[in-house]
Amino acid sequence: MARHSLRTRLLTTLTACLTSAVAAGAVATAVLDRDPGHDHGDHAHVDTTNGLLVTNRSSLRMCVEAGADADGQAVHTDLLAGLEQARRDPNWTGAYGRARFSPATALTSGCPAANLPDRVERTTVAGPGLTDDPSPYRVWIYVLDDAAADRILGVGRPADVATAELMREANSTWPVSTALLARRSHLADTTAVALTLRTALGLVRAHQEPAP
Amino acid sequence: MTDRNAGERLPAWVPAMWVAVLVAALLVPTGPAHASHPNPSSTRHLHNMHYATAGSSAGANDEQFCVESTDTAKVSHSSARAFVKQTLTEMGAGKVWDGLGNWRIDLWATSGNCSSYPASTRNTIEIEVHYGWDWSARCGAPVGYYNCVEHDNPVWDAAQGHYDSQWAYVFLVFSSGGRLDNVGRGFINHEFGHVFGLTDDNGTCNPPSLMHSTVVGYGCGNWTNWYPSPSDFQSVLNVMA
Repeated sequence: MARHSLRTRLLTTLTACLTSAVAAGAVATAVLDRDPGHDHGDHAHVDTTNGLLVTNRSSLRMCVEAGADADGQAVHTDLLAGLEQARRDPNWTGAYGRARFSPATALTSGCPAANLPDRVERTTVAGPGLTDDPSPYRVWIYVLDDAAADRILGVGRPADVATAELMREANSTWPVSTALLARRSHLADTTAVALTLRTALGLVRAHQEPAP
Repeated sequence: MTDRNAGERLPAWVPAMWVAVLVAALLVPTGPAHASHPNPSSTRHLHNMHYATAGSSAGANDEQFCVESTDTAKVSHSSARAFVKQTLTEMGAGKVWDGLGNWRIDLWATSGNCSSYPASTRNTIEIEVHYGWDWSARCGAPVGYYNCVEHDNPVWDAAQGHYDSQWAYVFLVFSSGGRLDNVGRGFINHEFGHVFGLTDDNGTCNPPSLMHSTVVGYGCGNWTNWYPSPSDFQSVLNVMA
């Protein structure tokens, strides 16, 4: 077996290490970039030109945390009725006209990292918060029983919205998903649900009441 | 000393691998250069800056702001509010955001601190300024270091054809942005630049800007004032348009 110089052995070893590192990197990238929950694999960016708000969404989808004791099918039926009415908002076409939408796939049971706050107020985040990998869900719906609603929303308040996910770009953060927290009994009123959904979808401003 | 193996050849795959690395390095596209400041394409800004309401009190299209301190022993609500109000509205023409764009930016301080208002009234206040020791949960690590802006409640603006924010929150740490001196003024104006759609664009120093100035910890020493530069004002006007 031929003996090689120290220089040759060093260069060969260095090159072998480089080859291994490149191969390992390629494999890791291929594995880690897989994300079946997203519409496509591009790195997401904030996109304020339409209601989906990030570049990695192409269809309007919402996830629903209905609670263990709730009738999930009834909750979906109530929400879809409200959504159908919300789609008549005059801003719908401009905001969501280019997004794919199907009632059959609009609602998904369970949110990927549900995070209910102790109490909702102006700056509350109700979800995973800051992320560079936003979920496919534009709206995260939390359905609350009366006890939880009284505690989180306040006694008697039917619903509220908060930020669920944000992205940071250029040292400021921008919300890309909205949490809708709703009392279960609120869902029976389709018109009220439609208004709440219009707020969560950014078709109308959040409720305001001028100071006396 | 002679090399007994002088003249021996490397295995063929070794030089081939280095050639492949060189070719890959040449072919992989480099990232885009930092967009030059100003950034008129930014649409991450407060909704009301597009519009004005005439009058001698805060109107529906003006920008009301409230101020809140998490440690009133360090800085009281009232002293923080007075300082922010002075910085934003009382330091003279060419030094304040207030009045820009023919009063499309029309800043009004509330009389109380943010949490003193019930939710429905608080919802009418477009901007909240929060003083505290640490905002790393909102602004990122390390603890107690970063000031930042968080936009909230994106709303479709049919006239502009984009989403902008109904509300914005400015988080200031006592160690820098929360100081009641010219350092604090610089950070307040910088963060309000973010409220009004400006980016940092650190690494691109022209035109001079408070957004990437050494005054707020960035690398450009060609604007060392605590107030926005002429190009900053122009950039916000571009966002309004």
